[in-house]
Amino acid sequence: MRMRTALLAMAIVAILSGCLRKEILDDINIESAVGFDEAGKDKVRGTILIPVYKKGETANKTLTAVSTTAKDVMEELQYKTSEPLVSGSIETALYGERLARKGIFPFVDQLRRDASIGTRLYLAVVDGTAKHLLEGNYGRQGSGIYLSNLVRQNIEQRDLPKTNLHLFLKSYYADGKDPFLPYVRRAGEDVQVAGVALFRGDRVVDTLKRNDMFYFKIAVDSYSEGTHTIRLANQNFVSIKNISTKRTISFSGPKTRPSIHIHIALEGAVREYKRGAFTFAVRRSVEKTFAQQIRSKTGALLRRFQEHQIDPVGLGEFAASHYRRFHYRDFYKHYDQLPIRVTADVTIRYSGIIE
Amino acid sequence: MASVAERLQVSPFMTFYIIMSMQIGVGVLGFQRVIAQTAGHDAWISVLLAGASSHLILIVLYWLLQQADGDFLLLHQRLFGRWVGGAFSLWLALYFAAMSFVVLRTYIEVIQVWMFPDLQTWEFSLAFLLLCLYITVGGFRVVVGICFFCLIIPSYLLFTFWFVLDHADFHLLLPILDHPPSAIVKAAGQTTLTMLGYETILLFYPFIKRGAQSAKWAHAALLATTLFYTLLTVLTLAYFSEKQLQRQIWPTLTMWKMVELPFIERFEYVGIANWLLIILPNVCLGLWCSSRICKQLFPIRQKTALLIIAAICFFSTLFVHDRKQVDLINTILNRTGFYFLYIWIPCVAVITYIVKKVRGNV
Repeated sequence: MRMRTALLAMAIVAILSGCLRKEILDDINIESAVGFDEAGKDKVRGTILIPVYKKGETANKTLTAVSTTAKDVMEELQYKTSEPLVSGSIETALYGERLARKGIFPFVDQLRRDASIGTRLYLAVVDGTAKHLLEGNYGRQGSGIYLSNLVRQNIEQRDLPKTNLHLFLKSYYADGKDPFLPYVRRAGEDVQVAGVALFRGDRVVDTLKRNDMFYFKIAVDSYSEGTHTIRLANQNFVSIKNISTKRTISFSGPKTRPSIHIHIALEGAVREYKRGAFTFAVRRSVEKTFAQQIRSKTGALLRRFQEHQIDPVGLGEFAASHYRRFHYRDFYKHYDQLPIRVTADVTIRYSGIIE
Repeated sequence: MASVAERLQVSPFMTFYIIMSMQIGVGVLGFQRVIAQTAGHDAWISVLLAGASSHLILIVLYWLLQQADGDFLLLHQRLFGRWVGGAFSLWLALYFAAMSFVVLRTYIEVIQVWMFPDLQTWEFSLAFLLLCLYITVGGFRVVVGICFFCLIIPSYLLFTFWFVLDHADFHLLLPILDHPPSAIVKAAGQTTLTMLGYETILLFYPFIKRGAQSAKWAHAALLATTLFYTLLTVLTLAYFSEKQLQRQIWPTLTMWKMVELPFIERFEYVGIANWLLIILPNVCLGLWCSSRICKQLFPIRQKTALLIIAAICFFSTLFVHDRKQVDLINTILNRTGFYFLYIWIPCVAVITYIVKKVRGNV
């Protein structure tokens, strides 16, 4: 009896496992990146990038379709391929700037609802159109991998704060924080990170240039690695590497109109110093100049955010964890007038292997 | 008591594995959203409160078992007479059978939404219930073995939450106790639902050698489950922003979407597949408890009872079609479990106490 039950159970398991739809890699088109642009009134142009694997290298193929909603675009695209499209390994989603200024949420919603798409996916706003960018050929591993590596590398080693689909949605849904995304641009046969696009809700309201990005990252995120060059007097400059930062935000005063104090503690090592020996006195002056620059540049950024009524740092969220029975509405009513003080503390630990 | 032969019994420390594997089920995939809706970022305190209350109930359960020589059904009979007591016991049998059915159907829904949209409910339900029958027909010791392995093997999943830490903002948990105590207590009530499962001790107690010694292991299991849930809640609250969490049906699975390993792109598939092992003891022990009651109430063999109950479970899964219905059966089961443990058990305890005072024994 027991034996027979076992055999029956095993037989059923074996037979049933063949019943589901299979997806064999050679018979499907794997999307590696998607892009959305505005295409006239109330229309959207969707572009998908499909890697075509050849011997030794990866070629790129793009497909484009115009429709009214994000889901329709994908269905339009299905008509254009002989093999089914699979969205499970999309690593980058791009949004043309004109579309991004009108709101990208409908196009993000589609990504997060799909159980097969991971939340590590990178989103970015394109200077120009996503279609133009996706049509380029970058890197030997295919444009899809190139794009995601570009963003990842800039987060890990450079001035881009941590960003991905999950973090975008987290800020989008947070009452006390606004999202931001990398701002990328095609330059010939390369793509570069040109800055950061700042959102209010799901609309881009401002973009930061590349030289503001360092000060942006230390304000919204923390640094763990990277290089930054500062100018000193007499056309001298010093390049600091292995930067790590720690940000402390404190509040004082009433919870509807608090005074905000942001303190940034930075540690780094000298990589390059243009002139002369890096003496103790020079180190002191470098530390002072750097701290001064952080104070003024980061302070200016925060004022800019206040003018635009956006809060990419999440000051509202920090205030909410500081004050009891906190109300976001009261806080943001006076947001543009809140006094924000930035202070910085720079420590240079090593000066390389040269005295 | 002493009706169970020693060769059919298990060691007292196995209670730990039985109770913990029974407590952790499909609820873990999504309980955070519900309690965060009530108590916001203080929800983790509610989890601790719920854990503490379940310890109290467990003490009562053990006291009751000792009054009736380890047989809860016998207690029902002695207190309420043969017919009324029997009716209460039958109701308990239904509850355990429903538990198996609800857990199974909820898990099938997860598979359908996340992995195989064209999977038919009956296919999986049939295959899985046959497996459960095979296990439960082997007797209580086999079920305990399954409980043991199905707690140990998937425990590696704990390490996957390390990936989530990277995106966790723990300042979202501050300030502590920012919600009114009433909200925190209410959320604690909602948490008790995911803590259910330890009431199975009422049925398997006679199968434990030196039963009284198992109390400390049962409490250890409750403590471990509580700590695990608290940890998971803290991580969830730090990982999602409040309104974002309200949009997740299965926050735990969404958190797995962040896991990235060189050899696997979508970790949640591994997680969901592994969750099969977590719900296996849930269903098996539910079936076993239910059939055990039937065996004691009616003149039938436990195997026959098992077959009938499994068949009922199978047909029940076919009548649940969408998210709303799955939600409904979960709510009904959880309410029943809550009333059973927090209303019925204290009532029985009070009656037992009074009867004992009056009659001198129960």
